Amino acid sequence: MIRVRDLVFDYPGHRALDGLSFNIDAGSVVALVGPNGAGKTTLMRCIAALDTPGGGNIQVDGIDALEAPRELHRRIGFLQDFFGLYEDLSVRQCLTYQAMARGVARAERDDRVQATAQRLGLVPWLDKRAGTLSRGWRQRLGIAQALVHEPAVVLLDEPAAGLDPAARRELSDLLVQIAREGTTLIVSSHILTELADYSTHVLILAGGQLVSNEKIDQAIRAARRVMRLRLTRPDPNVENLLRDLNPVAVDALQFEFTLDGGDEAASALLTKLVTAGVPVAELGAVEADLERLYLERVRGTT
Amino acid sequence: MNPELQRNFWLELSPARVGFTAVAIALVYLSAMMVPGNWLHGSGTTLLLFAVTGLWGSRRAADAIPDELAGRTWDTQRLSVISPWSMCWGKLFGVTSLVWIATALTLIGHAVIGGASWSEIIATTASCVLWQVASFWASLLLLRLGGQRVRGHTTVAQLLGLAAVGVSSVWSWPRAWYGIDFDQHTMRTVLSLFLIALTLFGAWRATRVELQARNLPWGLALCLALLFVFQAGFAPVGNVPNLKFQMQDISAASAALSGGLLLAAATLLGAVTVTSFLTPKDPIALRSWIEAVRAGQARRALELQPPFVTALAMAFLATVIAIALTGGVGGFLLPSTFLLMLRDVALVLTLTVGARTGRAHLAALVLLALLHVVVPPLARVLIGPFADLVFRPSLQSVPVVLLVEAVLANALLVWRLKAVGAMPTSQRTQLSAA
Repeated sequence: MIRVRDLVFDYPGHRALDGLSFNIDAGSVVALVGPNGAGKTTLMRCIAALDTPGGGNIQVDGIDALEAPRELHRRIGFLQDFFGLYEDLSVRQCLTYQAMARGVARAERDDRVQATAQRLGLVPWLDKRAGTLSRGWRQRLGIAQALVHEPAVVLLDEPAAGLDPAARRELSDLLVQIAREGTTLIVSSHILTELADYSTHVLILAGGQLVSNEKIDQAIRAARRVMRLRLTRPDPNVENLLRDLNPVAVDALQFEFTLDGGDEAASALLTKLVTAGVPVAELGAVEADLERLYLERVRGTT
Repeated sequence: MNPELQRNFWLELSPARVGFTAVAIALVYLSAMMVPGNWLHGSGTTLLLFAVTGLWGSRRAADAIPDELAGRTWDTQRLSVISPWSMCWGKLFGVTSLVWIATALTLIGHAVIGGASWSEIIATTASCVLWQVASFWASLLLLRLGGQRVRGHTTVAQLLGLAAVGVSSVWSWPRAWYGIDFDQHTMRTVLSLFLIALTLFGAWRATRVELQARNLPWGLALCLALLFVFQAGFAPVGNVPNLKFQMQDISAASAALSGGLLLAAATLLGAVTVTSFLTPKDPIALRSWIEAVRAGQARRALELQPPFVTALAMAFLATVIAIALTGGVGGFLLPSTFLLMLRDVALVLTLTVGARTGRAHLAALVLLALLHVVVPPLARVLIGPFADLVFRPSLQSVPVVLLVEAVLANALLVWRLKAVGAMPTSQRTQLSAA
């Protein structure tokens, strides 16, 4: 569905995207993650054909973003991190305008507006002014505007920013529903636990370069076993004893490291620590998840 | 219906606003009809048109883009599939739709009470429309020059629009064009319509760029060619003393045509300097253009070509044509003006390339004002007639000093382009080619 090759984007004095190449399959829900300044928003703007890259090639649904940006806009929906609404228009007018602006045929327009409002739970608000909506409902209207023309690809930049926990849960459910209907989604967010709820793939950027593009469940299955050691009190010898495992200190009492060799290796390590007099409270495997996968992938790139 | 027009109608034409506007205009004219000696009986409608169609309309037009930027809706519009032309006229006519209702009511009121001649009213309306269109175009150009910065954007755009009206007014003084005499109002109307066409074309092209469409340079080249032909119709020989002396031996008609051609070429040289201010100075875009030129990618190079380069090429062509057709009666006037322009453009670009604020452009404007207005008389007092060789185009002597100035200024520009990363390195060229 999306094919990116050798993508380069420069800002004066700094390269934001540095030779990115990746593919995204149709129907995927891609979590686009990376540290601040990694190039996530720039990548989304290039895919949406809002900014023109200095080099490389982007194809979305077979359309070249550089050659036919206006045609691409017909197939893409984009909710930006900081988006605006026409405050003095009603919700119905906002959706109707977006449908018109995105080329929805006149005969279908009213039905499409009604269906989209239904899908986003906006029907009771259709005749209210957009300026009177609360943050959560504004976010829904923003998403509705991005969906009203039934795009094949939807890009969402920090869609949960500023939402309360209940609204975030509703948003997650909504994105799961949209993904089930076959839309390809790219969602950029720093809230990895929520991304994990609905994402099928993860695309990790750091310093404008691609760190990883993989299926989340496969990546988690293949992840190296991470162990966590918890002490009852601080011990100055412990880091020396774990030196070969490159431990990361979570705090003064907890250390994490990867350990190959399964339970046998864990048992041997425990024996070694106890024999050395380390006050071990607990040694166990940490469950792999998207956040852990992300931290593992970006470690050493920043 | 044009979606942009529809959206603006929803926002602008609420029954309350239309009703209030209609009542306000009706009250003004009712007062004019019932109060003896009311100001509207003289040039009142002209003033009313200036206030409503000009001042209010240009404000709305200049604010069309900053309004979207402030509301963070501009990117959403850029994501639409509305064609650049529909976006351009839908926005321009849409944001001023209430102004147009007020204008129509004003014209109806004038038809009822009389006063100024219709030719004056039409000329004033045309000037006001020019103010609107030029303000809208200026607003789009400022967007390209200043990124997302919106502070003061509307006012600057409106003032630039007013400057376009000023140009049309100054232009309409000669009243004779290719030997045909026009009355003052007809001349103003024709000039306003000509400039409306040019500025509307400019606004359309600027909208295309905003909507990610690519412009080839032919449109700008055509506009400049039209400007050349149009300007050549005016013959201000009497305003250039040395030229008048030079032309006293040729027939009046030839002198008029020669004077017109020389002035037309000089106008295009001036247009290059203006275009150098209006060209976006993004070093990355300049680098991409230079890379495309070096790689021999003709189509891409033309699409990325900065407007001042197109203007420069057209000005050079105009200079050559004018010199050839006038048989050299202008002496070294055009070649030395060309060199002066090369110096000025290089200085403007050196100061503004890579700058993201309007201050750099203001500094360049002040520098040009100093070089052309303040320093020459001062230098003449201090160093005598040699100052003229440094600061003024010369009619009779070979402009060696101006050539040296142009070369030095362009060397400075190349240094600046390298400093801001606008000149490609070999590594970048390879990457781009790949």
